[in-house]
Amino acid sequence: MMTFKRREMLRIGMLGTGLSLPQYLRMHAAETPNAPKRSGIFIFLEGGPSHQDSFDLKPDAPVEVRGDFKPIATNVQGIQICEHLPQLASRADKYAIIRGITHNVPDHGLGKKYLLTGNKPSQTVSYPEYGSVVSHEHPSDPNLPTYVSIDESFVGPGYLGTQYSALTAAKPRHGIPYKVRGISLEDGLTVDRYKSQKNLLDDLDTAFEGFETLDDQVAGMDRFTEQAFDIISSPRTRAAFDLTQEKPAESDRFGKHEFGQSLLLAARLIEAGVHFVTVRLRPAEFDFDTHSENFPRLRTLLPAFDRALAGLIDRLQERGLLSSTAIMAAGEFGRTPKINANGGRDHWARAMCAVMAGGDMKGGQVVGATDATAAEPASKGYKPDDVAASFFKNIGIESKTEFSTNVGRPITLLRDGSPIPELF
Amino acid sequence: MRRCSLIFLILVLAQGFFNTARADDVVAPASKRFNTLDTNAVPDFQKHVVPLLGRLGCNSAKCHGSFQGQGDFRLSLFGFNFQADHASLNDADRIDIDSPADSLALAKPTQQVDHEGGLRLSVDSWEYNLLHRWIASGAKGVGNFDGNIKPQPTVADQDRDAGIALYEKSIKPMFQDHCYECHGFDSRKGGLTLTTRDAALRGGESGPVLIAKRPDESLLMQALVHANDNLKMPPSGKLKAKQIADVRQWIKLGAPWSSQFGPDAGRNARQLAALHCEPAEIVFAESGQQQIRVIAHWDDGTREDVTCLSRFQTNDDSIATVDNDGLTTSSAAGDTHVVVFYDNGVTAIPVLRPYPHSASAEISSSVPDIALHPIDRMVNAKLKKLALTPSELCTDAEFLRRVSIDMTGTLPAPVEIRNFLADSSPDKRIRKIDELLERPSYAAWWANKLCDFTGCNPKSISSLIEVAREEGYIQASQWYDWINQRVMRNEPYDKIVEGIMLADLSGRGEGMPTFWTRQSLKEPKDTAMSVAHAFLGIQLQCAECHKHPFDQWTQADFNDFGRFFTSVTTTKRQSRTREKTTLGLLRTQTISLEPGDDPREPVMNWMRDKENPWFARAFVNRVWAGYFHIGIVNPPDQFTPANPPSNPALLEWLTTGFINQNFDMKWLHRQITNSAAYQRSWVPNNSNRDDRRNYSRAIPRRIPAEVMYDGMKQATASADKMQEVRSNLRRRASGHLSMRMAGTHAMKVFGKPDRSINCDCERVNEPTLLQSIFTQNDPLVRMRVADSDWVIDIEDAEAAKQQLDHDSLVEQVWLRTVARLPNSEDKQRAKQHLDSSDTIAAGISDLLWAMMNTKEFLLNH
Repeated sequence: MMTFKRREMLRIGMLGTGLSLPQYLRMHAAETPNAPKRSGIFIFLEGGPSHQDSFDLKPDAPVEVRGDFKPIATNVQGIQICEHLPQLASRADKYAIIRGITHNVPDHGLGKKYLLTGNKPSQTVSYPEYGSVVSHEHPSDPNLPTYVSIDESFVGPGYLGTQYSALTAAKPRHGIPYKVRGISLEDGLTVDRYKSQKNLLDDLDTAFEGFETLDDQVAGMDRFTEQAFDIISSPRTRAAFDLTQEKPAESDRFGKHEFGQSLLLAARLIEAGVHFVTVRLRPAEFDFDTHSENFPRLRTLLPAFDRALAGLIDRLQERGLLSSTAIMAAGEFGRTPKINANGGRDHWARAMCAVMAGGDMKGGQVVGATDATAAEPASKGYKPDDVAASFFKNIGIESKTEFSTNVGRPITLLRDGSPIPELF
Repeated sequence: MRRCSLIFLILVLAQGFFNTARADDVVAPASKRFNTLDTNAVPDFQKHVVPLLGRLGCNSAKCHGSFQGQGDFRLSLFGFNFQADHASLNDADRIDIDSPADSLALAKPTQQVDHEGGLRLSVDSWEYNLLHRWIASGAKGVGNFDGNIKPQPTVADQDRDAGIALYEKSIKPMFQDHCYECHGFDSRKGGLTLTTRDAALRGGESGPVLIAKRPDESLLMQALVHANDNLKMPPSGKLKAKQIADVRQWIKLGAPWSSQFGPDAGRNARQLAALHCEPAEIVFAESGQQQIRVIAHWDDGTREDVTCLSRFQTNDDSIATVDNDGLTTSSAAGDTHVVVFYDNGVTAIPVLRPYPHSASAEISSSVPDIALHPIDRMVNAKLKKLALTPSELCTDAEFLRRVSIDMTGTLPAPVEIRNFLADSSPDKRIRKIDELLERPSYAAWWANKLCDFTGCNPKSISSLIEVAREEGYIQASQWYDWINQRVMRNEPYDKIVEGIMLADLSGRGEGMPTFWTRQSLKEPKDTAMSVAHAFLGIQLQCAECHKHPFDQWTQADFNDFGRFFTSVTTTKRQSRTREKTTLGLLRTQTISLEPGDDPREPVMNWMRDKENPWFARAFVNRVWAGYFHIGIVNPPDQFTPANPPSNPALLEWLTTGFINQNFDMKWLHRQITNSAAYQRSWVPNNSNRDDRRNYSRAIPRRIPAEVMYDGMKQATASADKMQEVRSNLRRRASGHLSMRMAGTHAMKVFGKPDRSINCDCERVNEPTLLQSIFTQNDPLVRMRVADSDWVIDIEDAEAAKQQLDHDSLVEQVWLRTVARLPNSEDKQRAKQHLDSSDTIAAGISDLLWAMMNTKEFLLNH
């Protein structure tokens, strides 16, 4: 129960969650024991991957719809996926496929906001992305960041406040020394020199001596100064980001491309104790926005995705972490049923798909379906809100959690949407 | 009364709770009158039933007040739509007049029938009896909706009732399932939203979609029947014939709308004239308790004790808590408010408890009251009440750094600090304030703030297309320049706002039209919200969908205010009324508009009127908040009765003065910064350690993102470049770079606002882990130190074997970062570090790094 001293409570209340102290207390008084919280990885496939060319093929559709790719059998009876996903085909028992997800925002910016937060974008509220919610609800050990975003995060912490922002890690490149902004010591700076600078800082930071607990900002800065130093200088964080510690064979298992290396880094971070990782490579590197040459481009993209995700699932499984890590892969929307004049497919939000693994996820199944041309959900379909609620459930966060914000009203984490029961 | 006599001494002020005889004409509380079922009293739907449902939590957002309802039963959120609530209650066996106890409305919350919301009331409680009596007496509603006992209904009433029934049964579910995805609250495709009857009548880009009683002329019908190829709705396929027939019939009946989004919310309601609380103020001497009594005054002259039907909330439960029945308990010394809600009334009761170290006599012992700045007279009066002794004045060095940051967003230059410290004249602070107000950096910093308030966001101006983004920057810079020039020449605040409010949208004239082109202003109500936020410090958005829970605003107020901005928002070209209309201005005035009028003009005239309750007050309070860690009303954009000022007299004095000085902004800045309240040290004394809202001491606060960025640049600049770094606005984060840098890593980490939503909370000043990672090891900071012109100059001097004065270099480090001279311990530690460094340049760069990471640098104190 609550054992905070009043001063501490004030501090928490002031920490820019937008909570006044009374609100904070009310929020915590209302808390009930939750499901165990898990780590999470969101693999965001930027650009909007073609659902009918990956996990929702329509081999019987007319040629202008079904496209070039053929379905292949998986290791689960009755489930077929694209021929360019052979590794995932042999692991279909490990993940669930959600088909027939539908929304109406076929715009990259807004669609991304929707899928990265689970809330339809609004003019008056900025919603937090998944990792920021995890930072708020399930912080990691103090000498580790809770939430790392590879590459730059798109949405940010929204109404939760900047202290729940992601630590941004640039995408790693195979064979090139890896640096993380703010974490890596650059330009020949050694840990020893950094430590000596920190000693100097400790000796000179005396203006508030004796008043360290007087005001929230003073106390907060002291704590964060120490935590930053611990993270930057700690072998644990440095090791987690150090991809050179991987054997070449392991590195190859994920694929030598940036996407594979990013998932390898995500695995290392989760193993070190980071609680949430978003992998979102910017379009220039890994672009599913295939308005033209859809099939030639997917012939490169899909195998890379296949290898990396299979590698991630295997690795977490081998290390006993798959059951404690919720994984989701999705983009911002699907693509048009009809192939256009440039051999591409355009934006299509009426139907899309997602893949979920790890945690409590019941693998080896497909939930939902689309119609004969993969244009619409076959029945009611799922909204991104439902997908988000399912992902949150798998992380152990109740999607109806109410956050008090300083925009003047309490906001429910997910106003719409509820977990898809079949997944669990 | 029983509880009042508990424990310690309780001081009761104002209306004198103990002395007030119960006036005979005050109706006794419902808890007494419905103590048994054996009563003739008849509960009133508005006065008793709806408030009771509120207290029981039935109409909260988590239960039946949710937009989806709960278990098919939906009430209006926070209850102010009596028609809809009454209709919902009368549906589906919830009410059984012949056998009240069998009504689901009673069986469910008592859990005689399974209730997901759990046990809300027990049988035989007064609450149960009240609901029981209401049902037994005919379950009457408000106005026409009197349950089963109706006066002779007119044809119009019959149509309306039939239409509403059809709406509930068929139309509303159809809208929800097929329309709201694109034309709902968040998405307004084609400019159309179907969330209110008003909105549907107004229509979108293709004009009105609904014409009451004329289905065939209504665009909605044409779209549903697929009358033409260009407009087939919904996109997922034609509706069933039955549904289409229902829509036709409903429009024929006049398309009445029963939901809480309808324009009739609150129709026929009685008016609550006032909500009086006894006592009007609570002052605790020590820990203790006090019962609050709430009296509703209705416009027909009746009065009733509604304590048992009110909701209570404390604004800070570390100071005082309040239970459901209005019993207030003091938790600690300090001051806050307990807020009381009943019907649409909101009253805040100040709750105070003096601090224990009573030394209030010290406050004015040294300075005669008459010599005090008026601000200090009012601040000190409050301090006296709380037995707080203010801290001493801050040192000259602290003052100079503090006022330079708050007023000009700039750290003082080393030479300026030396001169100021050497100056021994008694009026040097007064002169410094005058001097700073004449600097371009004052105008730059406050133009930057005005850009915050008005939402100057390059991304919101430009089109979403990448190539057009540059245009956004250019326009945002023009916006900033326009304000900057006016602040520079101290144009009155109301003139500046007029230039924005009445700007000619074609760009002719002196005005600044870009405000109106913000992309986020898609709907007149978006514009209404932005204007209210930017210039009035009030948040209207709750009233977009339901009654504002903490404020008096209803949807009608909100819709009316929005209509002033219809043409300017939808055309983005002109602001002219098309037809004669009469509109209410947030319950203060009614305005008649003729065709051709610019409806923004009456809004502007109303805002700058000295009787306007918000315009001057909001600005004065925001400027105050810019000099302290909080506003007198805090958050500064939440002027509501539930969020009263911590020092009303002070806010009044500043507001009146500002208006009397013709909105002279420099006058305002000068008054605030010349007060002792502003010039206090942060070092607490025995009494004021825990005071954070009465200005008895300075509260250290993190320097804003822009100051951090510019300050680091300045601290590492070579002596000959420092002036350029300080004054070249084009290259400062608080100058033109403000627009360029929005959204960059450094600005995001330090909480510079995106200016994309209507909230002062967008600027975040709290310390975070990422900030510490940034200041310790971000390449930008490391490069500032490594590439410092000043350090390179030292390196060159070392290489040329010049003699370097170490003491003077160390002094420079301190002056550049924390704006003071190093003390002897500082000097000793610095010397020790220089001695152990490979080179003096390396040692100095370490010192710069360390000092820029101290709290003394990162905080304004």
